[in-house]
Amino acid sequence: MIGWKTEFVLSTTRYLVKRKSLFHLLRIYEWWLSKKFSVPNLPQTSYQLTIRMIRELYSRTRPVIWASLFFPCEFIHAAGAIPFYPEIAAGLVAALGFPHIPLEKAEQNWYSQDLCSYHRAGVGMSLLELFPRPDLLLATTSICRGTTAFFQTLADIWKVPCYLVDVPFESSPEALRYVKDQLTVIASDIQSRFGSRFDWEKSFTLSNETVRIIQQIGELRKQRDILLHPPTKNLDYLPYYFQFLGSPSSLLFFKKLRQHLRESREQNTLSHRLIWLHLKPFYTNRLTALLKEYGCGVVFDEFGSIFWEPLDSENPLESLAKKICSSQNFTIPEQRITKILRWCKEYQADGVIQFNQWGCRQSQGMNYLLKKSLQQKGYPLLLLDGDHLDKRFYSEEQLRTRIEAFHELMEGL
Amino acid sequence: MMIYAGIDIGSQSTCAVLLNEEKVVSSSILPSGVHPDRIGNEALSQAIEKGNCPRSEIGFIVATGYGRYQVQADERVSEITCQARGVYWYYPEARMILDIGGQDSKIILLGKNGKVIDFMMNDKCAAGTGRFLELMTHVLDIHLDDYGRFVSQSQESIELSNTCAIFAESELVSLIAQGKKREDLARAICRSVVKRVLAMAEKIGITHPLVFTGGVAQNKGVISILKHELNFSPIIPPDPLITAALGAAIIAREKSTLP
Amino acid sequence: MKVGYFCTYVPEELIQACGGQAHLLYPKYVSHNEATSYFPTSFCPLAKSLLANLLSERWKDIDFFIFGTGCDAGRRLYDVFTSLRSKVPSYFLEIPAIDTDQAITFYARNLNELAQYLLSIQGIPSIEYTVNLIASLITGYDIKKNFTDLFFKGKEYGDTFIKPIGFSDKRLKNNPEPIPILLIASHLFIHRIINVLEKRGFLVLDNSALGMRRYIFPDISYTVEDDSFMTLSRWYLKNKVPCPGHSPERRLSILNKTIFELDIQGIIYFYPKFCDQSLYDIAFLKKYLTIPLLPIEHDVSFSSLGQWETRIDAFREVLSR
Repeated sequence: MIGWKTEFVLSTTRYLVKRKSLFHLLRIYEWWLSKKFSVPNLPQTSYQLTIRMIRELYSRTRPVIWASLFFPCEFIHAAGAIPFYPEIAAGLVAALGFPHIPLEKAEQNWYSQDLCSYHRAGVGMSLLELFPRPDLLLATTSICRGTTAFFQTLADIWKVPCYLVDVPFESSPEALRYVKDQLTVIASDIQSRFGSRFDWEKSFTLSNETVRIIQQIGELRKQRDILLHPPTKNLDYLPYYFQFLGSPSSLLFFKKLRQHLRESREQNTLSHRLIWLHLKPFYTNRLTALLKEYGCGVVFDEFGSIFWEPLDSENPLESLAKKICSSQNFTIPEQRITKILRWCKEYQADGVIQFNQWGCRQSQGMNYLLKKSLQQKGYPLLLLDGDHLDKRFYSEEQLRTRIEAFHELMEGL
Repeated sequence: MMIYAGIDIGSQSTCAVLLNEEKVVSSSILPSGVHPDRIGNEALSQAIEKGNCPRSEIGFIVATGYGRYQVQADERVSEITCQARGVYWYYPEARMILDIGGQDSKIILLGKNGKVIDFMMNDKCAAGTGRFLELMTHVLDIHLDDYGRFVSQSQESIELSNTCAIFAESELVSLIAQGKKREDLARAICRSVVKRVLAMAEKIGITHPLVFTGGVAQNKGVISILKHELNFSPIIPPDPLITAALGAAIIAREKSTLP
Repeated sequence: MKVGYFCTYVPEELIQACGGQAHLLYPKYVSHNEATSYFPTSFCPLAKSLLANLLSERWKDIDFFIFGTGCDAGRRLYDVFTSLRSKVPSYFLEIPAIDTDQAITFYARNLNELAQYLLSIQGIPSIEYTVNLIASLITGYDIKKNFTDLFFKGKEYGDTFIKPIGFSDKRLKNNPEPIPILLIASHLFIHRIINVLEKRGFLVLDNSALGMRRYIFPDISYTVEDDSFMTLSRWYLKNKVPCPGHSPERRLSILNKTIFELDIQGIIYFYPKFCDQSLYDIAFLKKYLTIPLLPIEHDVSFSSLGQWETRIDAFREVLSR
């Protein structure tokens, strides 16, 4: 049960988030930040971009479109709308320390604890009316079917239209055409619903340029004396990979990140270079401290990888359909494993690590195949169990034991 | 005068209640053991002896609880319905029952006439049951009766984040190693049980008057936390362990008058 | 050629038209030891059970297996099984998650591909198949329509979807006033449950995926001019009662119609633990249905039968007038 203090805070917050004009006042804060930090470093840049995002989302000067993680944000930016990714925002809620509130709210409304907590938190925040109200919902069926049900639920809660893009697993001209035809219908609806005119050129140019920088960052991280700190830090930048791509924000951020990496060189190299799969627990925890304690660093992250070809503004919908279809390589075993092995080689990795998300059937269901393939190629795989948002499943001692054992394995003890 | 019997064979305790046309004649409680048929009969025999009435006067027997099909009875009714009837006998104004037993917990939503409208059960997981409290006493090295005293002396609010009993035990050990006081940990344990049960209740919608029954309704620590979380005082029957058996006896009386 | 499948979006008409014998695979419960090496704890028990049965070679007389993409667990079942038994002929049928016109066209194309594959491995020419499918669809339509009519007259209940021989008077005599309820459960796990519920005084009207596949909501008609693949695709995506996870509003509408027409008093929902589709379905139905719904979790085994019985008895007592 929520205590009266929390209930008061929630009611007040709910009242405030509906006052669009209040968020316009954030412009003053943004102006002040830009004066105070005229040449912002990486964290300051990220902070300023986050404030701007909050202002735009809640002041609602443009349509707000929610999307599932693998629905390309370039589409939404091109439409002149503001993208919101509830799964990413749920991670932010966990990082801010109050995921239990939306999770409990969802559970009170019969959304079981066995469901993926990213989705449960999204449901809870919607029931609490704390997330910015959507004007439209867009989702793909790629990667997992849980997302499909999640967005159907959101459509029911918010009473707004929802488009589900059905994405085949096969790679064929028919599959591509099928996805493209679905995007065509969505684009047409957005045009008539919001009076939008798609500016593909701008969105795609920004996205392609940003991707080039991301790839440069990827090359930098192959150098043994360049590291992102702390381990798993790159996953905190998820919005820039999935939500801001196709807008100036993403380009600005990754330029800063590239600069930051170029300027920081490690004195000591890592004992163990790891490839990180899937996402991570976003609530406060000792995972990164434990990794550092045992000399483990993350040299590459699956969710920071570029899995699509440069976008072509001459054939925008086909180009985006290709991006969507390519995302299935996160979930098709042979394709995913091939990628991981390639990264292991390119980044001279000593091992691979995945923090299993309770409720993520598609990734957990693949673990047997993943482990078998990696071990055959000589790469140890550490699978940690828990939940990325729900701290009720967190056990530090269990984490420590496993990381310690993994470290000993890599040391050959 | 005809006597009606209700027997509740639970996982921890077995209870028998004898009722006549006007009032409760007698009751008995025994630890359940592993033979529900024997213990059910034994509880009934004890109640008969206490009530000083011949067995031949027992007109109808209703059995309830998990062992209800193993004991001889004229009819079997679920403990949900029996609990509702028993509580209604004492408190006709009650609208919700929160029952926390040794190995399960239940939430029952009641209508105006004591009829069950909806219910929820947790009988799969130790969290939110008396078992959780019992397991943690070993870690804290206290007795079940100590919870009340410790909760009242607690000064720091600690959250046990794990609901799984096994994880929570591990978490408790870490907190002890950090120097946290037993009083505060005892309070955290009670709160964990209450929150778990209330999370179930929220699915149906908490309403009052709310009656708290089951073995854990005798735990002062849990009562204190429950009052705090609910923001109102639950009603606790004089003997919270016998309400289901009483309800069974009431149903026995009703059934025996049916044509 | 014996063709095994378990997803009810796989059209048995197509299999039959291609000269195959369609076998719906019901997994027998095994302790999940055989599957625990391959799947995690928090994973669909039906998928685990199917894998354990497949690996035990219980179905070694089945020549060909079709797996559907209806859910993540089903997809992983295909991935793991084919990696362990790569020589066993298996097919992965892409089933759209939506029922738009594009999806119907795409599914029709997928069904055509499946048909071509089935024909080619048997050496049967395509023209024969096309004629057979048209005939199969016409016959199938009549059967479904007839079944739908009987269902709404209350003449099809209990386990008749398994044994299509009509109702039995004996059951009615044992339970003079059974309470009509709708049972929602995976068709893969429903056999003994009907028995348990009937003994407890319920008149069980089946809403499992298998049973619901026999009904037509709303009516469709088949004409010779129509493309038979398109008709089949439309039939399964648009007219079949949707499974959990497919078209929630249409599913709710059909359930409400069934509840009204048959005076259903309550719903008992047996769902496999860790089944996301079912979990979302339950939350949705709990919100919108006006009759009581009792969710009961299972892991394909009957180890929790005692706990189920308590809930079922209490539910019957709640519904008793």
